[in-house]
Amino acid sequence: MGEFDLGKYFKSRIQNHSEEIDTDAIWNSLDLDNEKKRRPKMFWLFGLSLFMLLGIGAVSIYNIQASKIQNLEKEISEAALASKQGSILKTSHMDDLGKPNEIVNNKKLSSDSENVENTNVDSNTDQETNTIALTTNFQTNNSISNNAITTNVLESQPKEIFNHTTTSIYSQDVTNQINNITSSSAINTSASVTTKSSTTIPATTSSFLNSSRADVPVPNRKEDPLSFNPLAILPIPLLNYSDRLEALALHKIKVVHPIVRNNGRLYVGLYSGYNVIDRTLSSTQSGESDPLLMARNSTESILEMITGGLDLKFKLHSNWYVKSGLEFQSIIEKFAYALNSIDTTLEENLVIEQFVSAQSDTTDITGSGMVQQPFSENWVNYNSHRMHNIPISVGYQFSNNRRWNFYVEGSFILNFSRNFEGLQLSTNLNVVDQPRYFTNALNTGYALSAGIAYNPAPRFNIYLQPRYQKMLGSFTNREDGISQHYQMYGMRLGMSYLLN
Amino acid sequence: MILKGCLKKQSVYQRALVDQYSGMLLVICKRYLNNEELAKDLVQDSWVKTFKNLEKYNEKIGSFESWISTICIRLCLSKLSKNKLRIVSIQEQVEDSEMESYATDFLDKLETEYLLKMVMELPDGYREVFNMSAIDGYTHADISEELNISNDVCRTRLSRAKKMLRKKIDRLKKQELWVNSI
Repeated sequence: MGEFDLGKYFKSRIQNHSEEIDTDAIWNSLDLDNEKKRRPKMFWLFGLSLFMLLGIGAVSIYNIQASKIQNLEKEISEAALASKQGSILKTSHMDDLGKPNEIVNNKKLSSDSENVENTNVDSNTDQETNTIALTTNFQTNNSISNNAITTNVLESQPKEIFNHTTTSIYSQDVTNQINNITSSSAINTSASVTTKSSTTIPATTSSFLNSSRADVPVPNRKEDPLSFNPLAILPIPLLNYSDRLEALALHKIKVVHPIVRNNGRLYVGLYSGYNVIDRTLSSTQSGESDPLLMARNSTESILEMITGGLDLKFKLHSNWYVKSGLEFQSIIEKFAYALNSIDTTLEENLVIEQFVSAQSDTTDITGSGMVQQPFSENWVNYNSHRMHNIPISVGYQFSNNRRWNFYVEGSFILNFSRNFEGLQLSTNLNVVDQPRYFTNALNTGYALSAGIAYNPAPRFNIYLQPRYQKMLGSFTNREDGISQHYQMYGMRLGMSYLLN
Repeated sequence: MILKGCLKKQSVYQRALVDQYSGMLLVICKRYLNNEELAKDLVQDSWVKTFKNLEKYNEKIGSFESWISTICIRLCLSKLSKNKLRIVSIQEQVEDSEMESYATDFLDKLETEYLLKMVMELPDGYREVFNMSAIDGYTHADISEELNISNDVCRTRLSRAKKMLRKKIDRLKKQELWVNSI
């Protein structure tokens, strides 16, 4: 027995008391702030889809090229077989010469196997004639060689020009030239005529008129021509060289020798990137604690930067390259606003007095009175700084092999356009959508990066590029008391395509 | 360890924290609100606020348990003030707390749930003051500021609340004696 403190008694019995509760239900209905979690997921999803897109593109290009090669090989094999069997291959391409260009242009002018097959039409001529292999395109992985004859044929010129009845063969020079080219890793062989309107009429190695070259001696050939080079057994058009030159001179036909472009390579590229950001907000007035600076630091947090762009790259044979293009960057920030205040209002029918009887009965007396109500406002807005840049880059590529390449790159960034979208504190600490302290003045920056590139198909290239970027100028007017600088660390994923 | 995981927004640790403290939070909410459904809602709100502000928690200032209790209590008070705003002035004389003697064996027999029910049944205004002062350890100055009432009113309410509880316990004791005498 002793003095009893009711408060202590209740405290000791209740304070640490716990009851059963369905925590599953609580957990499932909790709406936690997971914006930051969702954003990386979005990024990885974006990256994965881009990677898949690049992969599908690469495989498609590779398949198209492989299909072309297969069809051409098939075509050549068929032609070779036909030649062996003594059949005479004829083409209708020659018939196009002399026709108005409109008619020629209406044909689908490509070297696809379908077109090749469709244009191999018998000319129904009994006369044994020779013709000119008008164009031969040999394409390897790295270069294109042309052996073409460009004509200035007028629309009214008769097609007989090309149907000479001579039986002599090419001169040794021409034969050597063709053989040298065909003995390389030729993957695309076609013939075409270029008219004055620059329309190219394709044909294939089978696109020659009835003439056989089976008995033509082929210099510098080591392997069996029948098993090695289909051109050796094809009905290569034969024409006495002097006659041919005479014909060319007479009809203003100009011989174009093979051209190998050695000036460098031009690539067009597309890329996107994700960066984490380090922002520096500092007061331009030393020794003073700027209230705006403190307010901004407490309300804003930096999330990420997303980049996308197009560029053109010119690569020299020395493995140095220059690159420039147009780039879009969006810096995303989070603005968390919190306001706690007390509103005082006059309200009617309030309980202004309350009496409690000894039996715990309560009596309320109502009336009007001033009521203070705490008021809080909390919300989040995502702001963005959208920039348009012209990056100018110089880099060096370390060629490891044809598939993989490594490179380093330095860039100068010219930021010519910048705009802010969102809500932010103004200089007088109000929430505004366009704070005046942001400037759209020209800004500059630089970037340093290294990368790894992979060629899944000829001409096509995908790359992954870790990158550091720093913007040199402030995003704000320094006169307003705050300077705002950014530096970014990120990863870029891109693809490029060889144009020439 | 759990708190570090929660700061990294790892759901496993967040879940562990919810499992550990939800029961305690539910009792706090029930004590203040006298409404089970509302109390469950407030437990949920307490967790949202806790996870949002977890980085502000400083273990040097106090235990996590008391920190999370404070969050919960503040939410309860906020809810009460929104639901029913009142200005109460009690004209009664402030009485000194009476100290009576009870047989400890009888008090030990009382179920905690029953004690909790007694507190929950206190009238609005008295319940908050009793909870804050007697159980959660707030000073009269803190309570006055928090509930926007004067110090005297605060003391009066506490005294009245204790009186009411004591009567309930007395009534219970009499019932027990009566039952035992049968």
